[in-house]
Amino acid sequence: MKDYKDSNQSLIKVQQYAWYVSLFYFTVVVIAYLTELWFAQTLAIIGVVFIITVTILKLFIMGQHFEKLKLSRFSFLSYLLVVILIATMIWRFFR
Amino acid sequence: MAEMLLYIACGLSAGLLGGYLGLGGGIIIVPFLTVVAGFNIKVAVPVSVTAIAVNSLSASNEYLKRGMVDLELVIMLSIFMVLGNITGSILSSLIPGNITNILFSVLLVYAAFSFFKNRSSSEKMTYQNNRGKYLIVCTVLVFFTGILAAMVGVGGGVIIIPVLYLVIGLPLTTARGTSSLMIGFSSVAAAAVYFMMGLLNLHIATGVILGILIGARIGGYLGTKAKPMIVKIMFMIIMLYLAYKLSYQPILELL
Repeated sequence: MKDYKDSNQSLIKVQQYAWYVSLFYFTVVVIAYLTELWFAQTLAIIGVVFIITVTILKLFIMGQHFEKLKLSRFSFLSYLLVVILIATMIWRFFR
Repeated sequence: MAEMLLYIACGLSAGLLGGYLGLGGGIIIVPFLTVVAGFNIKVAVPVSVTAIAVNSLSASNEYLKRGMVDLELVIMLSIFMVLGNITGSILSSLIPGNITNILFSVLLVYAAFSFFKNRSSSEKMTYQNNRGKYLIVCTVLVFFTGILAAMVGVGGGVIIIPVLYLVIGLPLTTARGTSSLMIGFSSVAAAAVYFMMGLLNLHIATGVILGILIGARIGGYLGTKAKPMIVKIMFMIIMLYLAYKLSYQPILELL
């Protein structure tokens, strides 16, 4: 149970830091839009890429979490989900 | 300025409700942007899908901290939800949308009232004792709900939570926490595609995302302390509303 909680902490921490960064960053982007700064759109693009990257990163962390618990099947499924999501993105983009 | 405040308010309300109930918040964002702000549905949907990924990031942490998320279920169900979504998007061009919408509405009405059935203690224990068997049942169910969700164009939470609670027998808080983390994974692929194709309106999305970051955090915190009866009533209202929205036009057309 201790292992479960300990390895879970990394997922919680990543989400926590990602939330702080996102909150600060999107506040800046909103101010940039309100003051009509020319680079507001570029900042917004970086923000959306960040959100997508963090979501994928969470899956890798969950994969490691299951590895620590020696749940290799679920670890494999976590990485498989990353592959499925990326394949879905490519398939839908070119469809 | 006023426009941006409107988008932030939209995200805030979607985050509060979504975080509280473990939903994505699309049920608020899409009507808000189309009816209140007057945008086309093709503008509202990409914003909604992207906001769902943000909602998951903000709200699920509160559930994770309190051990209210079943990570194994998250992974299993996310895979089958995504596969179901892909199948659904292919089938949607083959099966008439009106029939799917009416069928889905009937299911929603049934689930809305089933929430109030009392589960016996033996039923609650079944899942814990037969986890492997229940995982298989659950993946099959989620695959089909994924198909339906893609065909009628709704997110995952409103379907996943009743499945986890009514079929699998998870406690309502764990069902909401599990759904809260899961919806982020099932929405991110669609969000990325809309973004790469340039269909995401970044001006609107920025405001909605900021609102949802704050709202979902508060909603997630309140959700972990929510009384089950209040959650059930709110779910019932949302499911009946969604059933009405989905079936009203198709029924009129059939008559």
